[in-house]
Amino acid sequence: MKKLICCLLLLASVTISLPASATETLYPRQVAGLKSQTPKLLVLWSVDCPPCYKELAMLRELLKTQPQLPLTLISTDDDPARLAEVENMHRQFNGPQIQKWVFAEGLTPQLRYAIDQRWSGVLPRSYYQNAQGRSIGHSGVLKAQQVLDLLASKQTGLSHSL
Amino acid sequence: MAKIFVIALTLVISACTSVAKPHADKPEYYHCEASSHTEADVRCAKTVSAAVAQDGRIWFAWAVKNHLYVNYSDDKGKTYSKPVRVNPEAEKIATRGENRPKIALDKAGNIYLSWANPLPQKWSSNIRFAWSADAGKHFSQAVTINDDGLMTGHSFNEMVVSDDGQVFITWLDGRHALKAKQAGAITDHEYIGSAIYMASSKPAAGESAWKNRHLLDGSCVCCRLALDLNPQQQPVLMWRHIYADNIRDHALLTLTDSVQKPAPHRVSFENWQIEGCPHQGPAVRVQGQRTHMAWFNDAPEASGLFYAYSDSAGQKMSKVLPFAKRETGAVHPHLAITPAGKVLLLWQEYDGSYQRLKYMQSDNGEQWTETRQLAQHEGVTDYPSVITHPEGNLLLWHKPGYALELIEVN
Repeated sequence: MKKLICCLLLLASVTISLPASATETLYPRQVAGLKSQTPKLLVLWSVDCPPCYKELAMLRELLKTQPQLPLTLISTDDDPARLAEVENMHRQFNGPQIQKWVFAEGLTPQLRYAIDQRWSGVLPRSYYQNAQGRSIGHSGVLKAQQVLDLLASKQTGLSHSL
Repeated sequence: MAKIFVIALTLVISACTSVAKPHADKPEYYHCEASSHTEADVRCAKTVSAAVAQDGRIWFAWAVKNHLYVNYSDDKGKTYSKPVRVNPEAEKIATRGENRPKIALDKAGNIYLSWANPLPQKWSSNIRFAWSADAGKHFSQAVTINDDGLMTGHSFNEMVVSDDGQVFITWLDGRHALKAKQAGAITDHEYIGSAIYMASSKPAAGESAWKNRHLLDGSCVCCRLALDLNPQQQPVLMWRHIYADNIRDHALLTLTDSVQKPAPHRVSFENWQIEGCPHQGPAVRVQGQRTHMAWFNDAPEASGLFYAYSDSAGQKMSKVLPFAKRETGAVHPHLAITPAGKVLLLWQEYDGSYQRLKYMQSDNGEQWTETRQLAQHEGVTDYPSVITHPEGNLLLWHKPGYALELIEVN
């Protein structure tokens, strides 16, 4: 019995010490599952992309007024040497509904293809999957109003309808 | 117990033997992170650049773990020399995608290298240069080419060298953006994109000064520049420019000493409007009076890879040839002029399983052969380039984790 309590305490301490929502590694087989979640705003970004930081700053601000924003962040940085930088950014986004992913090393072509065959790799790239399962893609920095319109099921100002 | 130990040992030995056994058909993948002897190993490089000497020797340059290396092949890639370290003192070297070390040679066989050295602050780096006058046995101490001393962006270096050793280096420069940002705290001044700078020197003639020349502002911040020399040995520069409200089309500029204010020509008109990072710069090659150009754009009505030429340094353009659609995953065009005077156009496509290397050929850019596939690979690849060797053209398509393999382009 003592052993069981010790084990439970150990497990609890490990669980507590883990970050609230750590970055998970994204493999191609998991993409379909991500795309099936609705409603969802998928935002692809990279530490190499200055405009992505502008978009991420906008999303951080938006979360203050829209804390339930169904956001999934996907970093395309498939180099483990960049993981710390990716996680630093991801730690600034918190909420039970927010998911954080990073491309698996060496699988960028497969992941891009699984996400969207038509996506050239331009960043930032985002997709909004509405409650009816319709997906709308956008290349370039999203504006706060565009996100709000999407949440209200309007589709103004977005470039590619998938 | 002893019996179990023997069986276990046998299984371990057998497993190790099977791992170490080279595969007869397929090149073996090298796990760099699992080996302590990877320092100069080209298989551990993310990108590899190459240049050909007058005598046909092919020189390669790559970076691993904060050091830049060169080696050569005298038999078109069958065997390679031992790598030589260019920078004895370790420094970070940008070696990712389009931001990578460059190598070039002059007619005398001097070897020139330039690279971007990332600094502690995000998106800041210096442009570095070193050269060798003794066929790659020793290299000069690396020097910083940008002369502003600022912790800001200097990246996407491109380099060409004239036959007589005049070195031209151009790069994206963030000094004006930084100053505008600093001024913006008071004046709210806005600066869009990057500046492009160029510096030139003739190290083999004893020159050591690299006077920086501010060419223009408003370049896209994350796409490679494309640089070549025209028959007058003047640099011809192509880049992705930011026009009007974030229209990311391309511009061409011929650098002459006499022109103080460069006057670029807009050469692409797909009107791709995006506030983002395409991470795809253009390609340019000059053939006599004709300038060949290829680029990627992703506008709603014009998406994919495009080619055009100009006989007037970009003032007037030929009809644009869309040669690969975005739906095929077509990216990263590369142009080469062969010693026989042919124009080669290469690019990558992806079909969900394989990276496929496609190419077509032309005499002058007016008529092209059908598209052919040159190679394919299941994993990650570097961008393709053609080594225009006097005894036949060779494809350099580095696959990180694998030994270099040059493929003949017939």
